[in-house]
Amino acid sequence: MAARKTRRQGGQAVKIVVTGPFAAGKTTLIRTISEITVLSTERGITDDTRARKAETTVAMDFGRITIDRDLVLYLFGTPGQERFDFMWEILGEGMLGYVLLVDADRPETLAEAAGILDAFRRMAHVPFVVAVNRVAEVDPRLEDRIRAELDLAPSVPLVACDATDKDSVKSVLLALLYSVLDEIEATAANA
Amino acid sequence: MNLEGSLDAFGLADVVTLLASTGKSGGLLLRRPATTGRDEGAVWFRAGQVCGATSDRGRASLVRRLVGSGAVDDVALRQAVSLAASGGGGVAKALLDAGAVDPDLVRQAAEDQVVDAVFDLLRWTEGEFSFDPQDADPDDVGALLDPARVLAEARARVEAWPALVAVVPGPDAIVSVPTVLAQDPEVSRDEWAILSLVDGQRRVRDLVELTGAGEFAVTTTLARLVSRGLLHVKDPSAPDHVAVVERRLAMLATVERAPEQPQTALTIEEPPVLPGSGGMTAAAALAAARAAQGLPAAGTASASRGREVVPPRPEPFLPGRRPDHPEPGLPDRVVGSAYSAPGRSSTFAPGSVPEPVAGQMSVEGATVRNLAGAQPSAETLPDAVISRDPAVNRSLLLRLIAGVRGL
Repeated sequence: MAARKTRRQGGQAVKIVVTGPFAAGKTTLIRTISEITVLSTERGITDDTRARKAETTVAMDFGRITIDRDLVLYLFGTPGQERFDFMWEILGEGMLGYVLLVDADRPETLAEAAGILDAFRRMAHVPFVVAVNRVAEVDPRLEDRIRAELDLAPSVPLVACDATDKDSVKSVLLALLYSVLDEIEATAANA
Repeated sequence: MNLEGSLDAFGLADVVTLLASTGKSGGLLLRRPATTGRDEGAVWFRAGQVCGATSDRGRASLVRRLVGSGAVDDVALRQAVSLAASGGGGVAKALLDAGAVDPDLVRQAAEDQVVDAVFDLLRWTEGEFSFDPQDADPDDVGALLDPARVLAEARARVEAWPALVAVVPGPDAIVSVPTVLAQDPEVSRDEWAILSLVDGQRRVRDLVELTGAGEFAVTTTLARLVSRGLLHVKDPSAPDHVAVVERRLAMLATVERAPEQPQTALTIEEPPVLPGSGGMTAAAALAAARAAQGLPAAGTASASRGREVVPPRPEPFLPGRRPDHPEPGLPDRVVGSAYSAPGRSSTFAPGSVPEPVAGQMSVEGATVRNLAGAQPSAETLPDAVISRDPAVNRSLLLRLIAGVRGL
């Protein structure tokens, strides 16, 4: 599928996708940094996952950050349950990169995160970062476990994150943006 | 013989009472010397009941009220105007006949219109009147009001009017929303409808026009809001609040730095010292991380960009340690983003990772064709479904980074 430019009238829009397992904090992360009330299509949960949270995102979260008059960064959050994974490709089209959000308090969800990451790796060759939610610092043992279970190369940024804290979310986005910048510069150097 | 005379000799209330008591049908037309542009009014009767009224015959007052209330859409209005223009009838009646508006809403609007108009006409201090039995309201939508009740309501408004005018001086007054409130505001939906139109520029008469709610109703609402401190009547001689704040902010210019320009962020502050980095800056930590992985510290694309043009990283994103697991399942993987660019020794398990072929760039988990269109090697992962927007370039990334940092 060809990349599609997301251009607004008189300006440019770029997209970052926030993905991760169910209840990892994707909606919260986007709400924390978005300048608009996040369009979130959440519904009550009726199955056994209700124990983790009462509502889940069934289509997408949508946030916006205005960079300047001519440039807007959009954040798209993927639905966190597998039965909605048909949305991933739609949301991912043309993305700059993506954030894989994992929950430090629930390492048992890393297998689910690995599955999502595998799908995204096959879907898009773009940089990504792994944000570890609900920790101030990533414990070395936790980092090892995450890198092992997600099969991460050392070059993949792994960032501690508090999805409710704006500065923390900024750090996650900056980590991704620097990765994209590095990739672009490497491409240019090689051209 | 026609009924006609002067309002200063025979007041409007008396004429209306006479026509009502004799069960007349027709139009009581009123004129006054041209002073305000609203110099012709009318009250229409059917069998002694008031069926319509306007204080400005040149305007489609009833349909303006409907439009102001948001009850009419473009298509219906356009059709009704066309019908009225060709058939000579009223636009409101055409809308009603076409079923484009709720009949109850139209009748309520017509009743409000009658009382508002009679209230206006009662305040005329001079003028002439004449009764024409042949004249009919072009917008007769079926409303029939007791003339005594209309007069009573209109008189009550006339009595209340001086108190309102003391708060909101008149149709040319301009109201504005105060910057600071003494307490959290509480407003009704009707009040909100008016507040939403106040922009510090519109006059009271403009608000009356936009809402179509009538001068008395709008002024009453404005007076309530002013009394509660939710609106101010603008004093033309008083300085504008925003202008005052801007002037004072401008005084700070000599002690403040000019804001960074996202596109030309050529000068940036020293990179921050990272927590847990022993006092190292982000750049130093990055260099250490590169050294730990055997990556060149300079002479690469990343190094060539220099710290003058790239905002400093808020933290080191590369892990300081090598993972214990050797990733044996990915022999074709080329790791690293910028740090594993072709030509760099980016392997953490020497000998296990092939060097990328020329013409390719590498990202974690895959080898990607570069923009020059070189073909992937046989060892690359399958083509991705999605590729990034080719319009994304370094300049764009720098703008994004500066923008996110400035949030």
